[in-house]
Amino acid sequence: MRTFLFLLLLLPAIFSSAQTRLEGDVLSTRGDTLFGANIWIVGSYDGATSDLHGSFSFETAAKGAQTLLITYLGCDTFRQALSLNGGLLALHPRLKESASALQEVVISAGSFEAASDRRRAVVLRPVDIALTASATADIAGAIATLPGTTRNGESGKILVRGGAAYETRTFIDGLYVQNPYNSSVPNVPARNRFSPFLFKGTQFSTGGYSAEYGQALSSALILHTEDLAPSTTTGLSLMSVGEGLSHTQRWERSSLAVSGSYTNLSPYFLLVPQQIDWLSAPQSGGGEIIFRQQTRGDGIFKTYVSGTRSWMEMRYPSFDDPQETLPLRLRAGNLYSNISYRGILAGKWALFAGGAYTYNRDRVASFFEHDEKQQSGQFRFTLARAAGEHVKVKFGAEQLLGRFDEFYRGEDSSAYSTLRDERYTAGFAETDLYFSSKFVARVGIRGEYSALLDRGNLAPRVSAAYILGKNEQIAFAAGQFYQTPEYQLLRYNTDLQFERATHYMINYQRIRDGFTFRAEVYHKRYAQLAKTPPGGGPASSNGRGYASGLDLFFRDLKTIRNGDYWISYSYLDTKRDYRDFPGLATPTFAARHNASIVYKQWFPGLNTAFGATYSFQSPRPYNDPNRPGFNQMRTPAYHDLSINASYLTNLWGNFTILYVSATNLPGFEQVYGYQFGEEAGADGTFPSRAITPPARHFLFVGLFINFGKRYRASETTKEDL
Amino acid sequence: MKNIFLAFILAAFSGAVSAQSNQYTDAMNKAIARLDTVRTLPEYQELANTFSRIAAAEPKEWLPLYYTSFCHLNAAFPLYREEASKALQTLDLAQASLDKALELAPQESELFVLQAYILIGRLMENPMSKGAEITPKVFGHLGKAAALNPDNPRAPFLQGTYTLNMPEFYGGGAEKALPHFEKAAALFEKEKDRGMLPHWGKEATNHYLQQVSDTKK
Repeated sequence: MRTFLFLLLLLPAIFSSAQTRLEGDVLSTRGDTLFGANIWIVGSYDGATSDLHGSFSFETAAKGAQTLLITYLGCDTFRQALSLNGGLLALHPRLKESASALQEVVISAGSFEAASDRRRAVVLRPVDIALTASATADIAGAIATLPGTTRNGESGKILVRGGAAYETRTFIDGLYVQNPYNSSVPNVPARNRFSPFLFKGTQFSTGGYSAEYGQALSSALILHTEDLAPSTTTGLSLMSVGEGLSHTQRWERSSLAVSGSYTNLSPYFLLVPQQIDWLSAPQSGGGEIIFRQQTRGDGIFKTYVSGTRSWMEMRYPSFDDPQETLPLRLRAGNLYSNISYRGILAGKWALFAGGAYTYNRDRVASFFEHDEKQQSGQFRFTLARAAGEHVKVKFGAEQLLGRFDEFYRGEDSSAYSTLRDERYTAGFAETDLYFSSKFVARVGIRGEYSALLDRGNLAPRVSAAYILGKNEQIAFAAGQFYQTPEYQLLRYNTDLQFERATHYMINYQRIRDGFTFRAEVYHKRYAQLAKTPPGGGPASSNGRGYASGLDLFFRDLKTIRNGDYWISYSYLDTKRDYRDFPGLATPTFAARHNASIVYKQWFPGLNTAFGATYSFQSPRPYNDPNRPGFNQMRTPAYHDLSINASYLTNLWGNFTILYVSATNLPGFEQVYGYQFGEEAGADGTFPSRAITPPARHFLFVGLFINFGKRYRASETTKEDL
Repeated sequence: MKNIFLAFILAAFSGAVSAQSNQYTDAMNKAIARLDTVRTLPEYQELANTFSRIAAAEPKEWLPLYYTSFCHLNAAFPLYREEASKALQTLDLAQASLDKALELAPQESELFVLQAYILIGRLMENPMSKGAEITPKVFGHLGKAAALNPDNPRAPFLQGTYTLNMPEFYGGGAEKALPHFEKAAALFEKEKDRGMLPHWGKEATNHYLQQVSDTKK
């Protein structure tokens, strides 16, 4: 017994001698010192944190076979089997960067993201669209302040890097949008059909985009719709151009929004004289239904339906006889609907499946008559998953059925009609390869088949990004892009090739603490562009062209308190031979220099947000038939200074925003180009007319009331504008 | 003799058990005592590591997870001065620990206070543009925390600080914040020795109460 007791007394001594001391340093596999790593023996509390030099040291009473565990943010968890028998154990663990950290390198070439995804470089936030002074809450207007775009006041559309308007395609949740703009007549600018508030993120790609997107030669505008509406609210908008009423109902896992609006520009045109002789000012009526349902397991089901009818009628002066005016009437109807589901399949695959249907009809009546109906139905799915730590794969397929139905009756009662049916099928696959935390490459291929052309194509795409240092990276992208010629060119002849563009670009980006700087150089080659013979006739695929340039972007969210500004500049050198061009020439929509400065300031004391945008565009070419050559003349340079202000207040206890905006404040003379008569006058010259904005300024006043939102609904910030 | 021996074994065994739980309380008390004194970023990071080791060894306890999350959260605020993305990653760590704690104690008032606090951390990235999304969530979690335990002073305390920092136009400001601080102060007075349970916020409440009352005068 005594011996036993004696042994018991000895026991702690034996234990204490069993203490093992672990020492060492923690480095990454690349040799970087890891500071703050957590090192411990599994199942015990014994451990330590690595210091500035990556060194650690601690003692443990555990003995025998044990596991050492090391965790560090951005590295895979490190495990090592140890045999602890007391004494000193020196360790030199090396940790590998984890895939989640690797994903910090993001391919930036050609792409501007306005995402709410905070890991990505947020260059432009959705709210920025609403507060950009020159945009008047139009998506296309805000995009026009980014580099790579060319301002096009006469159409209001987005033109990218020497590409025509049709070369930029809009996608909503991956589904192609047939008519992203409101119907309009020539030289009266259109607006984007969709409110910026429908979208939580905007990705604007100026080239080199993913194999996921096709049928766009120059640019993809990728819009991601909002998920569940945040709260139940009723809104009333009273604007200088019309009224709107909306109601949003939010339930636990679903939401429904219904809205209607009517716009009529005639009261405004009475107050602000227009250069156009309006018989009936533009009017439109429309409605919208948005439904969202969250499913079990975090899937989301979305539907969106919108319908619009619009009409306008004007008289414009004839070239033949300046005393005579010609009538022009437009009646348009549009229905857009989509339905989609996004969720996780079998725990691993991110699934997206969706469909869309569009119907659009534009009826123009003048001394001629033109009735154009366009419909499309499409279905698309994509599947994506991580394949191991360092590889991500994505693939998908889509089919689109389209119909183009056109009727034309000329002045001489000659009539013709075109009916074209398209069945377009495409599939794509791409993979992201993370070679290290500094280097990622994306390789993809897209295959397309058009039944209308009876042709297929294969478009390879590749892009890569490499981190140069903290906060800065370079990226590169190249690829081929195909687009079916516009329906109008397929009137007489469907035996055309896909139009083709090949993109190359290198991008440098530096983002740090509220400062963003980007520079990108690019070269783009066009081939197989549809070309019509002089005097009209069946098109051929002999067109070609190129565009090269430099895009610069600088944004500063930091220097000015409560303020924010960005500067963008684009240099463009482009020529093409397409449509009815007699040879290679710079198109009328291309300007060598484009620049914008966008500034926003929030005054908390005044509850007011103020914005100003200055835009500059160097002279654009136009063709003067009185002179030799083609597109040989240049317009004056374009300047614009627009401002807006939003005042936030409560009206009878309801949150209210008063919004005012004005374009071209200093009243610059803005000329987009010149139009010439078809026939020379008595003196042998062709009469001309400048293409200018319908009025020198566009003024807008709106009062937006949100019923049932009070101060406690402090969810009202700048973003609600 | 045999019985004595058996009794001894049993005693030794139970001793081992109590030693085990003593080891837990000792480790926790030591770390919590240190938490009450630390202020710097590396200290918070180190303590987060310490608590997460305890959490890993005691998979049934929510408190070590709570403190792991709390330390990450406190480390996130100074990280904003270095680099916002690091702060956000650290907030992700705080959220991950909190999510595990919520699985163990889904009705614990303190965990909802912490959830609100983490969201305030996220708000710091850009208060102007994140306010709309985050404010209702913060108030929602604080409301739940108060409902689960009306005596939890940390719920009105956070409500007060959030309200104080909100622009007056949105219903913030000193005057609106005052009742929350007064309520928090009263609850802190009632709060007895909490042991290992969360007990932060009293000093700060008194500090703000003083500040707010001063601005009122």
